[in-house]
Amino acid sequence: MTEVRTTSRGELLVALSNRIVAIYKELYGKGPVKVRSWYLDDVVVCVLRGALTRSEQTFVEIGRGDRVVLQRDTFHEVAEPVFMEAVEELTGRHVETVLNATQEEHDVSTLVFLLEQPEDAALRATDEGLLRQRKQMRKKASDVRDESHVLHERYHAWQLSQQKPKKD
Amino acid sequence: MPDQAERSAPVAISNAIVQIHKEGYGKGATRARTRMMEDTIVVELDDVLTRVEQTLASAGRQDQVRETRQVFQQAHRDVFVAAVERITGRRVRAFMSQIHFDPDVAVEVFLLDPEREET
Repeated sequence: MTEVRTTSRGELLVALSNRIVAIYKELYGKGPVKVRSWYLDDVVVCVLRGALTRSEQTFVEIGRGDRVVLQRDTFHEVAEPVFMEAVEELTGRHVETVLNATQEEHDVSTLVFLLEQPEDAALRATDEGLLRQRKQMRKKASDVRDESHVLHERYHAWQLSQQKPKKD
Repeated sequence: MPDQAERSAPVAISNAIVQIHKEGYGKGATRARTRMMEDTIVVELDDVLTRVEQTLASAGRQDQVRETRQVFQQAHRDVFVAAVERITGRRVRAFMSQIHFDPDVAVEVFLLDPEREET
């Protein structure tokens, strides 16, 4: 079952859209005029309209929309963890990957978040639990080794102190 | 002593360059200073980077920001040159542009045709 942290699906979608706009505003300098989000099974889709900045509009006007796509692709590469974190926080589910596409001529972009499937999430939880256990065991083994080394040193020192000085 | 036109030309060039940046980029420099030295004009611009350019630059993608700026400057070459030619009344024979990230500054350099000495 999907864990939804807001009270209703509608509120979640609004929260997702608002968060996407806020991230763009903060890191891109301009948020899209309109965002619509959908959340179906393991997919979150956000469609952004009116997102192009003034300089991007200029590039489209001079026939260099390729620079817009390149800049947006690079931005998403850089800001991907921020988008993923926002969606994970709001949906309560792990985001496996995020895909983006921009159609600069029509000033529309999409963000598609693929969420981890519940059975994978369970497996990951088990794996993470095992990893944590292994880490704890290693730490314990290391502590025992350190303790044993200290005891050995002490024993060696005691042995030396027990040796009687030889008479000439 | 420079006449009124010579005194006001640097200010007019600064304003024109900032305006071109504003129209094209949606953001102009917060400070512009123009120096005119014989056949060379250097316009120094402070705080030119847009928010996304700052984000990309701080993520180590300066090359891409620089490349995109170059595309813009080349596409608008005629606009920059026309502004300087109109203000100075002289022909621009070369226009160069460069950006620096930290500090956030840019320079536009215009080389003018040498003025013919009156005989």
